[in-house]
Amino acid sequence: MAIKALNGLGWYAAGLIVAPGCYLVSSMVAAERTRVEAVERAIATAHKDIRQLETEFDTRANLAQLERWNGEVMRYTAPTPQQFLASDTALASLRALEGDGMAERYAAMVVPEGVPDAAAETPQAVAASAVATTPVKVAAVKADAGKAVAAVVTKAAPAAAVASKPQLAAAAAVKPVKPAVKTRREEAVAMLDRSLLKDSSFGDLMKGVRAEARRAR
Amino acid sequence: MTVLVAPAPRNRTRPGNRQAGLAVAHVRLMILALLFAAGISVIVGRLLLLALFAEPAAATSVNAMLVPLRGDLIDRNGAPLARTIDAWSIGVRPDKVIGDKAELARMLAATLPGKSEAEYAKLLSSGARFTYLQRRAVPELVAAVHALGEPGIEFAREPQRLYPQASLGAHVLGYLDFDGKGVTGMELALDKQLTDPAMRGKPVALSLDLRAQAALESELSAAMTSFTAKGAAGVILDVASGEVVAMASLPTFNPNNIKGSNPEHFRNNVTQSVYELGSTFKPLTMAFAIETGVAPSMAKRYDATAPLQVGGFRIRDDHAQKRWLNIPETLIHSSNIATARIADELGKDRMESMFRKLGFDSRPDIELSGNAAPLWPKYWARTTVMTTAYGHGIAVTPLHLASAYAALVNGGVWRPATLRKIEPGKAPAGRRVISEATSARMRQLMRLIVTHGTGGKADAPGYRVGGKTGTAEVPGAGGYKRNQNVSTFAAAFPMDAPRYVVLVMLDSPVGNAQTFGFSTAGWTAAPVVNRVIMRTGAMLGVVPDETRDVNVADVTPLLWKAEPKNKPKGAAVAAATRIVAPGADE
Repeated sequence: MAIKALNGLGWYAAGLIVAPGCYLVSSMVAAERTRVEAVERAIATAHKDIRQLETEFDTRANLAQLERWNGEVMRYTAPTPQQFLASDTALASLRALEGDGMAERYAAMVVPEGVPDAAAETPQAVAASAVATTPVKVAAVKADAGKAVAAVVTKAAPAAAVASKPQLAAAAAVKPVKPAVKTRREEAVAMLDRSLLKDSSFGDLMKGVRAEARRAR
Repeated sequence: MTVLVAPAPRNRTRPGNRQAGLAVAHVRLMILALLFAAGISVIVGRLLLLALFAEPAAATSVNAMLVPLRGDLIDRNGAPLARTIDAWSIGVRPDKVIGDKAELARMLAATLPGKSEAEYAKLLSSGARFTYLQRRAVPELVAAVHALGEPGIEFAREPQRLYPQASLGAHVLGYLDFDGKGVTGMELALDKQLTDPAMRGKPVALSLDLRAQAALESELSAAMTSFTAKGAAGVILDVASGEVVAMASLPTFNPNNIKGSNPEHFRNNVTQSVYELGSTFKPLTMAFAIETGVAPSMAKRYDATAPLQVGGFRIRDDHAQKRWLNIPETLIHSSNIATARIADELGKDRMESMFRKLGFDSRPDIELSGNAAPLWPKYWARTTVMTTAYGHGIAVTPLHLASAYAALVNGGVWRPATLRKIEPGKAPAGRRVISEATSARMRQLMRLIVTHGTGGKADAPGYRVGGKTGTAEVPGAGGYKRNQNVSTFAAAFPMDAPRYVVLVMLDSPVGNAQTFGFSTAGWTAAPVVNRVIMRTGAMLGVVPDETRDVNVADVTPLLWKAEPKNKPKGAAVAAATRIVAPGADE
């Protein structure tokens, strides 16, 4: 009789212990799920940010702008046929700086550069220049920072063009030695780093970095 | 036990009644229990239903964050051409402005220099409920306006269409109206797909190659500036699939700033304008003649000694040779007389049917809207047959001609042009226009025009360019204008295994010092083709090779003066002494 009474109590006790336990488990699962969701949402936000930044980068470094910078400073040229080698034999027999054909190589040079500003009077060029300066007004950029971006991109572009064809030994070495006379343009190239990493813009950068670090803490 | 409250004895239920009352209570209890059970089962059922079938709410919202409101447009390599971004917009509710309106107008004019102070004052006192001050504002500007501290000014993030390359490929992409609907270009053509919730998450790849597009547009605009041309058009077409790799029309506009653009610039000269394209038609006539057997041998000669008089019409040559010309010579010297004679032999029916096969009688086949209908001759008189042979009296869009040239060199199959990327091997079957053999012959002839003829300036070293110049006078009031022309150069490269057709057209160029005053296609359009091919050829997968070329050995003996203008090595001798430093002179 007493055992029977205890039996009921046992059930009651078991319920008292197990039910909260079950609830605890399920609530923990729910909490974990919420956390996963939060992470997923953070990932989505990050993706969105990446997209936004990518778009901004593409807009700032749009091809018209890159070409203009190339015309002004970098002076990269379109590859000439001599820079493509058909086979290993051709690579072995390559004498980059000998023989005639040098002048030809330069004569065929095509430097991509923006349309000259002299054309600004024509109605067409007005539209074009309106584009090139700040095509879409996504955050005005400091000229220095922008140039840094462009320099990196243009540098990468010819390399990529060659690298995409593995069967061609890209004769990067074909570029002949530059004459000793330094033109103003060459000086501009040589001094590029200075203008890019001017104290003022560098200071701005560092300020931004510190601010971000503080926020992260 | 004392009964404090007891019902009056007369009200006491009698034992018999008690029994009945119990039964009633039981029934009531049962009904109540059933009601409870029903209520509980409804709740449990609903819970079960939710547990089994309901979608987790959060899952969709996370995914929805990544799906843009309107699908992206990308080029064939995946570079973005059009995207929808969340941009800041600044608006004002004039009735909620609490500060001094005149003061606010002054400050707005200082921060947002788009309008004057008076205009802002008028806007603030207009009584409108809401007005945009600036859409697509940069964050700095938003911060600056926010710093004005006016609660009547509102900021919101709105989805906006952004074209990262600005005016690049503007005519192909088109633009959106205020409500986000496509108005022209691919934005209109793909409107349904781009806005469909099921499909908009996936970017749509166009056939354009952004780099080629940039090179084409920059070269065209440089040429347009230096020759002070009215307009320019250019197209690069994949001959094997009909994909448009680049399409440019100048003057252009910036789709990011439609309000600030000249509406006249919205016209796409490649598909929405028709031109008499002149001598670029001669290779077509020649192909018809070879195909139909009218010209069984390349050595067949035609009388070009004197201008040809047909009725009241006189056909002259621009570079008169005053002798009998065979087929290659006719093309090299671009003889109208000899071409007209060939067309006369071909006759009306064959010329007409061949032009129809090339689609010259209907609007160009491409996804874009508003394509121009060609000016097809109403009546094919003998003179019509003769003049259409060299591109007068029939006006088509530049895209028509590019597609026709693709058919000429790709083995004879005409395919519609498309702006959608076609996966390799999925090209449409097309329709056969000329035979494989005729196409091979045309490649030789077109290469000869560049090495020996009028197209010499288009000979990009190593790319084996072949093509034809065309300088057509612009029709105006009372006949053709002598001093205005449409200069076209239609080319294909590399001629030994053609991959791309490049067509460049300049509308009314004016000769300058570099061209010694010439405004003909050989001086204006051909150099543009040269530079475009130099810049894009390698990117498009054509390896420049100066040791390879299409074999023209069986045709060159037929030329009276078989000395190529552009010798591969000979030219170097004269210039070898002068080494030009990079950047010294372009």
